[in-house]
Amino acid sequence: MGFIAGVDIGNNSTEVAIAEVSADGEANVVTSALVRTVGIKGTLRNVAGIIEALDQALAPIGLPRKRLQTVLLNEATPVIGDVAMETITETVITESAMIGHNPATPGGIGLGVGATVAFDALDRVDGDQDWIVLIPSSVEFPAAAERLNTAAARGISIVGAIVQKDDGVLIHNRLNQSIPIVDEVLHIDRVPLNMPAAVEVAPIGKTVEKLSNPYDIATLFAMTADETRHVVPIARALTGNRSAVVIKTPRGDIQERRIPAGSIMLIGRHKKVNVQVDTGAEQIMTQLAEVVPLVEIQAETGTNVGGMFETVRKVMADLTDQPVSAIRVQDIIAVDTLIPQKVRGSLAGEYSLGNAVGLAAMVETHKLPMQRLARKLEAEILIPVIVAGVEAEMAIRGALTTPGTRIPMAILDLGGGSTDASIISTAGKTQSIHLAGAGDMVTMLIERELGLEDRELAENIKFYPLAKVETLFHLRHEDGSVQFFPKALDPHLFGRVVVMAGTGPLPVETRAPVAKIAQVRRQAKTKVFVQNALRALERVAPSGNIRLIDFVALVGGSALDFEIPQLISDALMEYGVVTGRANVRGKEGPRNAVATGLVLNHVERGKGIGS
Amino acid sequence: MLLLVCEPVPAEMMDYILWGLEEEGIPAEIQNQRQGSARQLGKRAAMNSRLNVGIGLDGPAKSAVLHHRDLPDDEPLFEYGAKEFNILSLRRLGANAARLAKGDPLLLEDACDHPKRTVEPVSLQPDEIEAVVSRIVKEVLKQDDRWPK
Repeated sequence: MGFIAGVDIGNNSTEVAIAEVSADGEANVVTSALVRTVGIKGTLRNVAGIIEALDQALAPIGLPRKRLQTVLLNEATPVIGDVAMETITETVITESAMIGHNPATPGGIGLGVGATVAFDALDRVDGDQDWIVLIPSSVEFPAAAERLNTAAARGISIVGAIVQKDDGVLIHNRLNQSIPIVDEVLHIDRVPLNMPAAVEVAPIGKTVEKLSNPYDIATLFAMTADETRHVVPIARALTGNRSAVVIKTPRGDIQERRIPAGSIMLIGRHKKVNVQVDTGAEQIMTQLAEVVPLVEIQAETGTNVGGMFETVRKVMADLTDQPVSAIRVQDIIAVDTLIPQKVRGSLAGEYSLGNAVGLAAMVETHKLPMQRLARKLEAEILIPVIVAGVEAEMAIRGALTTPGTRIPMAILDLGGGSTDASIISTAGKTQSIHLAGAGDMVTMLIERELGLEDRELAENIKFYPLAKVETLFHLRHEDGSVQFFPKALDPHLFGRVVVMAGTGPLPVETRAPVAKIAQVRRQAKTKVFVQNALRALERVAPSGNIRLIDFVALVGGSALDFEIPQLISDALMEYGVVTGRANVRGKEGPRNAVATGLVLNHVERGKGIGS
Repeated sequence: MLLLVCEPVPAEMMDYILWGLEEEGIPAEIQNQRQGSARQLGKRAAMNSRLNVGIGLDGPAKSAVLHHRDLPDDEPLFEYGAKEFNILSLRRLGANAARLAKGDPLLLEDACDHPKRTVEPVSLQPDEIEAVVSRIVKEVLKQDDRWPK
C-alpha cells in the first residue's frame, strides 16, 4: 500500500489529488487541494505552487511528504490566450450642434428658441429678439438671477438659459418669469455665440417632445428639407432625454464615423482570406469558418489586435525557448459589442455607445519543457516525479468519475484563457482541441461595455449577482428578494447598484439599473462561452455532428459560474445533449478532473507504485 | 427636510445648506432650538420628519449633522465641524440630505459622482518618460526567471 499524487498545472490554478493505492492495485483518492498557479504554466516558477498544493493536500491526512511514492505531472499542452478590443465607430458632434447629457436637475419647464448670448453681453443687447443666455461658473446664481430679472424688466426677451454649474433649479426659483434651463454644461465656452438655439426641458418623469422630432426642429429653425434630413441624428440622440439643447450652426450635426481598425489574414490549408476588422465579428467568424482547416492567423501591425497577437506569440516563444517566428496564432474568436465612448466635440462631456469588436487569440504548441519542471520538482521534494498522461485524456478520465456519466462522452473545459473540448469515443479513443476565448474575454467585455476601467470589479460582476441598495439598512437582490442589515451600510453604497462579492457588496458606479448590468453580464457569457461550446463540440463531434454526442460534462473554473452552465445547457438542449457541471468523484464539482485522472490512469495501467 | 438649529448660525452657512436642498428639489423647514448638540438636534429632526432624515446645526459649536431615524443616536451619517463650514461642504451636506431622502447615490469627496470616470492622458517630459519606462522594464524583468535579481 502506498500513496501517489497527481498534479495538474493550469493557467490559473494548480490542483492536486492524492490517492491511496492498495496492495491489489486499487486506487482511492483521499484528499485534494487547489492553489493559484505561480508564474506562467510550464515555467520553473510553478514548482513553488506545486509544493504548496501538495502540502495542503497532505495536511488533512497527516501524511509526511516523504511518504509519497510518486508524483505525476500532467503533460500540459501550453496554451496562451489573450484579448483585445478594437473600436470601429465613434460619435462626433461637429460645430457644437447639440447638448444631450441629460443632467439630473434642470430648471424650469418648456421650450425656448432664440439666439445665444454671453452673460456679460446681456446689458448691451436690444429688445427685438429672443435670447438664450449662457451663464459660466464664474457667475454665482443669485447674481445670475438678478441680472436676468433686470434685463427682463428692461424689455429684453429671455427665453432660456444654458448654465455651466449645477445651478439650474437655484437660478430658476429666483426668476420672475419661468424659462427652461439646462445646467451642468461642462464646456460652456464651446457654445457658439449669436447662433439660433433651442432649449427644452420636460416636466419631471417625462422626455423632450420637440427636440427629439426632426420636423419640430425644422419648424423651430425654418429649415429646408435637406437641412431636416441632416438634423435626424441629432433628434435621435436627444430622444429619451428630459432636457436638450439644439444649436443651428451652418453645417453642424452628430455623426457616427467608422474608424479604420486594420485587418486580419486568415490562412488556411486551401485558401487565404483577408478580413477588415471593422466589418464586424459576424463577418470575421463566417470567414473563419470557411477557411478551416486553419494554418495560421495574422494581424496587421500597429493595431490593438496586432499588438495582442505579438504579445501571445512572444510569451509562448519565451515559454518554449523557440523563436517568435515559429509561433503561430491558430484560433481567434470575434464578438460584436457596444462600448460607451466620449463623444468627440461634446459640450457637456456626453458619452455615446460606439461599435467595437472584441477579439481573443490563442497560440498552442506541443513543446513544453515539462521534463525540466519535473526534474526541478524532484530535486526539491526528493520524490520521483513522472510526466504522465496527455492532459485531455486525463481530464476525461477524471470527469468520468462523475456519477451518471459513461463513455462515449465529451468534456468542455471552460478556463480563463481558452475553451477546450475533449471527446472519448466508444472505442476509448480521445481527441481534443483548444479554442480562443474564455473567462478573461467575458471579463473584458463586461468591463468595456459598462465603461468600468476596473478589471477586478468586472471579474466580480461576472461571478457574483447584483443588488440595489434601497435604504441605509436594506438592499434588494437581483432576484427581487430583500436583505436587511443590523448596522447601517457604508454611505458609498447608498442608492447604488452593488455586486454581492465574496468580501461584501461593492459599488458599481454607473447610471445603469440592475437589469441592464445583468443583461450585459449574461450576454458577455453567451457571446463567448455558448459560441465556443458549439464551435468546440462541432470540431470534436463525429462527422462534426453535435447530435451524435450524448453526454457533455463541464469542467474548469468558469464551470463554477452561476449562469454559464445553464446558458450552455440551454443551447445544447436542441441537439439532444445531456449537459451539466461535472462532479468529479461525486464531491469536487467541476474541479480536480485532471489531477484525479492522472492517479487513476496511472494505477489502471498496471503501473503500480514507484515505477 | 427638517433642520433643527441652535442659534446663532451665520446666515450664509444656513444658505449653503438650503441651496443644496433646493437644487435637489426638497423643501426645507427650519426650527430654532434653545439648546442641544448637533447630534441631538439632528436625531430629533429625523424622528420628527416624515422623510426619516434630519439636519442638526449647532451654531456656537460650529457643527452640523445629517441624521437618520434608524441610526444610533451617536452615529449620524455625516458629521461636520468648523473645517467644513464652507460653501462647498455645506452645499454638499444639503444635497446629500436630499439624496438620502430620495434614495439617490450620495456625493462623496473621494468618489466621483459622474457616471463614467475619464482617465485623462498625462503629459510627460522626455526624461520623465525615460524614467517611467526604465522603471517598468525593471519590474517586468524582475518577473522573469532568467534575469538576475
